[in-house]
Amino acid sequence: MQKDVIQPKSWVLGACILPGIAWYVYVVILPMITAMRNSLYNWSGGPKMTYIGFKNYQFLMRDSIFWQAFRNNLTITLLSLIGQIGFAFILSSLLAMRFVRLKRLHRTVAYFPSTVSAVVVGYVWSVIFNYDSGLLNSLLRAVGLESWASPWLDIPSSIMYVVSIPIIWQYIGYYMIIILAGISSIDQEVYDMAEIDGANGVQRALKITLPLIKGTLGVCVMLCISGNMRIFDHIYSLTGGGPGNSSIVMAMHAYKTTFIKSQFGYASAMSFGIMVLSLSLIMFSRVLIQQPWRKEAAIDA
Amino acid sequence: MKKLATLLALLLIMSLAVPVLAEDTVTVMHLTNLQNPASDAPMSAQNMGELAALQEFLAANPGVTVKEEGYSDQSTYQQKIYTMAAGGDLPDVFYLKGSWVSEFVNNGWAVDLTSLLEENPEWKAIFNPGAFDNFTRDGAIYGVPTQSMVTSVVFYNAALFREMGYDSFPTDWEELYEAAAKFKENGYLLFTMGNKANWPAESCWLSTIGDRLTGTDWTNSIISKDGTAKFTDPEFVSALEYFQQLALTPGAFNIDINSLDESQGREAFLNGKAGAIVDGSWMISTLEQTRPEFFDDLEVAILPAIEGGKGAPNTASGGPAWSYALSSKALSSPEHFALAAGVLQAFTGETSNRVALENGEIMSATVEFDKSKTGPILAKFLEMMKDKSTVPIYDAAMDSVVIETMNVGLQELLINAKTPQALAEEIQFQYEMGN
Repeated sequence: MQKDVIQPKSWVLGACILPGIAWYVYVVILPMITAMRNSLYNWSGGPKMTYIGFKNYQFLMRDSIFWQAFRNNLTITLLSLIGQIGFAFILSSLLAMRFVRLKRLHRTVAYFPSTVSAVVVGYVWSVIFNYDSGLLNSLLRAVGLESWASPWLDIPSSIMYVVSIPIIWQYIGYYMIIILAGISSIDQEVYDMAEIDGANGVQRALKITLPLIKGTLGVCVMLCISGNMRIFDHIYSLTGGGPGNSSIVMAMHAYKTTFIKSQFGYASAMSFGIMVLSLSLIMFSRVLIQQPWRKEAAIDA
Repeated sequence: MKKLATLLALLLIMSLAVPVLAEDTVTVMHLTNLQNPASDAPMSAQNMGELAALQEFLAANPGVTVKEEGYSDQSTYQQKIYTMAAGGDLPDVFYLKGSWVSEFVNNGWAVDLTSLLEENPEWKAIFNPGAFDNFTRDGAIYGVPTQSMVTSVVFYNAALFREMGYDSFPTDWEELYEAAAKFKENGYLLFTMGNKANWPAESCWLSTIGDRLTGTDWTNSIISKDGTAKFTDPEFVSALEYFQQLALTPGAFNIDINSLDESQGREAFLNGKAGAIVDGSWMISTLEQTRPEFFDDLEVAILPAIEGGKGAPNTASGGPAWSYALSSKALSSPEHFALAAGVLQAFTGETSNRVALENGEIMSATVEFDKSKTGPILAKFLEMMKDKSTVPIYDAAMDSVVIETMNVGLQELLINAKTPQALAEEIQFQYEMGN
């Protein structure tokens, strides 16, 4: 009897979450199904739609710009994994140390860039990278490294590294906060014991913190991959995908295909391809982190 | 019951009264900075004309509201209008570019204006011969042209050119290479360009260089898709080669060509660090208002002749690229259509064209206007164009899929990241896909 008092009937529970589910179906599932249907048509946005089966997907497999965009996404993801999570781990390990002063200030300052709109970040950095009057080149010229000054946003071979810098810079603070939360859940006594045993800062970070926040890092990696697979606005405002297509990413290619070339059907197929690629990448990273083939790791998880 | 009947009768009378007062709203979307008083860019002459015409229209039609949405940037406008078109949500009157016409017609988004123009012969008569060509498909007219722009005008700093030993702008392409070297030696640039938005290289340069090499028949064959002309034809490939060779000549261009936007690209010219800029005739009214220091020495020319080319040497790409069109939304009722057509006529009518011409715009229509108001640069330009003719602007006449491939590829071509042959093949591939 008493159980009934605290536990509402299952239909009540169901009714409570129904609006949420209905909304989710309407804004996520339904568009996905529509996109799947549209991807089978040759469609330029108007009333005329011609059924062409899987032709759009065949074309996608041979679309060299799409695969170049995918490679660019992978480059950004890899650089971000190292840059964002790596730096965030180092910074949060430092912030977790006892002798660091003004911890709150450091946290706020490091988190601040994440609150700025990506378009603003892109614009600010395009000013920094400007050839004639940019901050970076002015600095290089001021210290006598005249020959190092380059039109940073105009060199196709290094453009992906250049556009990754603002992206990495912006999100370090974001991952730092997540990792700090993970570190704060570790019992302080573990650190105290290690200190008594004579472990230095680096040893404590690598041998204690790292294994104990593996779950948190897994979440960071997943967020990082999914975030970088749909990266768009930074690059749009920095280079617009240029020079040529050298800094194009998948989302931008889909966007240009839709709104500039108005190939809506093909763009739907492309978005579907992006989803499949991103999901498999995330799944792959989960497997790598959990390492189900290692027995003790399986127990840990 | 009687009360209810009275009420219903009253409501009926009121609803009848509405169309008599013509209380209606016409929606308009176009490219303009007239709705943005905060913008520091001077209002374009075409916008001045449209504003004057709109005020006349509103005075003549009390009770009518015109809801305007203006965009100052072409790419933003393009994305917005395509999204609205696909969503079936176009405004009544909108700005339509020549290269979009096929898509808008095939999808039934744009209304056939032929009969409207036939019913108003005095309106149709003001337009220059051929003005409707870019907006006509299978004999039906879908847009009424506004500016007749020349997209490839050389604006040059004559004082700086004299300093380098040139009395006028070079008339032979080969001279450009020497000029670039001379300018570089003295710490100047020959040209400056901001090609981040990727259309200037194609619209302002390639449309003219292309014609010099291929001749206009080739371009017309590409536009009509009759299958004889190909982008891989040696003439077009050699146009790309000429353009690339100039771009790669030290001193010819700024090295951050693809990361500067249009106005950043103009800076080096306006502050005297670059000798010339190739821009559209729309820059004339801007120049008249901003008046750079060397204003009196500012001269105009066209791109030099290229020896051995199939095209005429005294041409520049030009013509009407933009038009006003009506969407199928305007057809909701005959009264509404009459009002929307009224706004369309106002924007492209006598007043609008007269004010624009007086303020230094080149229009597709010929109307009487006060020539004493014409500024010095426009006078020089009109004088220079007297013995010149115009050839098609690529992005006003070719389909947007082809243009996008060309524009993106040109960015790479200019920095030697793509060969002319490879780019020509890419464009041809997209061209064949679209047919």
